[in-house]
Amino acid sequence: MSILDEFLFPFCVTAHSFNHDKSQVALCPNSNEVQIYGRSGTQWTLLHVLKEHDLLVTSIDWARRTNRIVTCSQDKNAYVWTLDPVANTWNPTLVHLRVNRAATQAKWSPLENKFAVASGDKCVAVCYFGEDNDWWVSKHIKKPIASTVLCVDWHPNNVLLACGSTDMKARVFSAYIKGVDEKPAPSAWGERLPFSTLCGEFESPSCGWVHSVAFSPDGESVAFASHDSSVTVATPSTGEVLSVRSHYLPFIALTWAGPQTIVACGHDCSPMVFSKGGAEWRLSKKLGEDDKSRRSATASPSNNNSAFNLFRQMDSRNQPTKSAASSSDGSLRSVHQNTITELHRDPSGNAAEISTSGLDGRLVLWAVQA
Amino acid sequence: MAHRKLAIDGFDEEQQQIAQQMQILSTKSDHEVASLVDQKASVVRAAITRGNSVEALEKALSEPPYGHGLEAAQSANALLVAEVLMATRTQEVNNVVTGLSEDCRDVLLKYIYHGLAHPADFNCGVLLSWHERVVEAGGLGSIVRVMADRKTI
Repeated sequence: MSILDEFLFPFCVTAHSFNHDKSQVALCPNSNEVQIYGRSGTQWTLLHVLKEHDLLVTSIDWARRTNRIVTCSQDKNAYVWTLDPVANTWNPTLVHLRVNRAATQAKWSPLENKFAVASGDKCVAVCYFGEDNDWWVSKHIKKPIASTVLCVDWHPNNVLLACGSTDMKARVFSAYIKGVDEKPAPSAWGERLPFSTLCGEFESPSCGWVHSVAFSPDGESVAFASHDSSVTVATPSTGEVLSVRSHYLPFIALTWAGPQTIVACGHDCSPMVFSKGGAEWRLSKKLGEDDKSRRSATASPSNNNSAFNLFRQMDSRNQPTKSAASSSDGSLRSVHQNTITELHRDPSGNAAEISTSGLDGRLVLWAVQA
Repeated sequence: MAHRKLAIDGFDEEQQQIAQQMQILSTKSDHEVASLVDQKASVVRAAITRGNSVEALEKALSEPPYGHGLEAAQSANALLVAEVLMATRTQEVNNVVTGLSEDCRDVLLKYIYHGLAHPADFNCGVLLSWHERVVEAGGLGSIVRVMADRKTI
């Protein structure tokens, strides 16, 4: 039983982030607002609406310890929201990103004193709080990024930053900020790393935009999913770059669920688990398709489907296809019925639990068994 | 458009970058690549006459002439691959496809699409039946890889 919980919202969920104990979730309903829902039993109730961006909110990240939310949007801005406990409202603080194109993803660093914003301006903005000016300041990593940066991920040491870009490469940079960071211990990625040093550059076998990048839990390897339907894992200490070419449509989100396990999901609507057996990575499992006894989502749309299909079957020309991917009522066998947009690890630190959100409005919590 | 004096496509930075990347891929000169394809052709044809389709196909798919400005060699190689595909017996197609490595399968699919795009020079019926088998073995991911790869044959 790999599904822990499944929720259905009446809109496409393009970004999501849970708070530290999963009692609240911040979602973007494919618009310029961020909605925060609180859990009451099996239902979610709308608690707050954060309305400050002008265009689509592309990414939300909820820092679990400091309880701040960073959101970034196609309107070239990012805001840091802090909760005012007395008035019970979230107050935005504008971040001076200084980018001229849309921001694509924002992530807090492990210590939550910095965050990185990837943007279409061929740069990554690393932001930290400047005490003297009392606002968030950004420093840009520009060279040698040649095109839009789609994704970022922090190394556990709070200094190294991996980013994937539409110039087909995944790179690891140092985002060391003097005054905010301690000097990091030397690692396989290098030592004495001033800001913006390139520590590694990787490519997948058939090239392709890098949609998602993630460091392994120990920081020794970086995995990335690119548009050529492959997942590549690079380990600088051994010098190996291993790729798995998948049979499915490209993945747009991936994360590590253990030292030898990667979960990736995307256009094929199911999370796929890859595990390392010996010297290579292989697809070991597709989550969610073999669960015969799964509870249907609260507020499930299956009623609509059955009426639609009743009339469709009355049309004698209709020949239901016997494809493996769809069941007889026309819906997909996988849990998500449309592209999965984001995949996140459990904020309380449980490595084997992940959450996914999709364009079908579903928010699903999974338990990953390798 | 005869009065226009500037060829605006020549100024497109991204096209220039792609051209540069493709130049890096071609480590050999045009003549070397053309002679390489000719050498392969003789080995491949010998294997076809012996009836060894797997070996013929693997040889034809090895070292594809990636690079910029190598149209003659690329089309010669494509015709060579098509020869092998047509010479293989229908019952053997399945075995040949499953016997290929992932790399070879992806390159084969690139040639199949190249052939389907030029119906005047290639037998599309044969190509379609090969396409079915290759996609059965490689899944939708292999088609995505054909479309995403910058290294065009």
